[in-house]
Amino acid sequence: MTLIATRFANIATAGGEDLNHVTIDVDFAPMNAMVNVSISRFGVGDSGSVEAGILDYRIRNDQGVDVTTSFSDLSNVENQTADALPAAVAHSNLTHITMLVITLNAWTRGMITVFATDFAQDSDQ
Amino acid sequence: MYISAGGGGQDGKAVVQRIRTVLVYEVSSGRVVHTHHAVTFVGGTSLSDDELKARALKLCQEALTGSGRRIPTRLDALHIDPASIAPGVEYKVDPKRRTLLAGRPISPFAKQAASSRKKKLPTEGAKRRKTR
Repeated sequence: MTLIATRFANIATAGGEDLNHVTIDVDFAPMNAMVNVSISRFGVGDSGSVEAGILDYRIRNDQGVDVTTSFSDLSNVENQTADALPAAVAHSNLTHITMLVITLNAWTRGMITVFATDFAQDSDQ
Repeated sequence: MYISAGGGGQDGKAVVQRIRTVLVYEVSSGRVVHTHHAVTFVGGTSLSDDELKARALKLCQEALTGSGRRIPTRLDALHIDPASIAPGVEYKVDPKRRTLLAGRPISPFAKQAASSRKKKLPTEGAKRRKTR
């Protein structure tokens, strides 16, 4: 497997003393890719929490149409468990990722990293 | 709400085409309720500015509905220049001028350390007062 390209987005979110949410769309040319999302450098106050994950991804199918796979509906965010959203996906012809970061009385820094390779394998982790 | 992006390919050319940020804020107070970033790399599909605004508002409404919290009566969305945002600072929107206002720096560790010191670790002065 050869690493062909990387794409990354680095975001910081401030939670203050209330609920805050940040979403990040990353769009790129179709690639066989693995995407990781992570959070680091977070501070959590009393009763605070931080949740992050991949909200959806999109692949370009053989007909040239982008097809979205969503892992969650944001309107059901209260009922999600903390691990409802995957932290990594791998797919051929990947074109889009949306990351969600939710903070409650907390702050954090998030990162999306796309590793494009000459090797395609499909999985959600 | 700070954002940066980068990356590289085998050809060594710049790959970030565009970074855009939309803030969804409460019109009455200017409080930022939701932040949406869109990072478009070379060859990626890009929404129009209006479509991006609509997407930010939709994601915000969904998240607010699901959180069970009070939904502000009036929300609006504002495109801002991501380069104007400094890391580690809270922002709000001036609703009348529709401009970004920098607020206080984020310092949760200092705040928490100060409060926990009060509860758990008596200061040297307090110790001395007790012994006297």
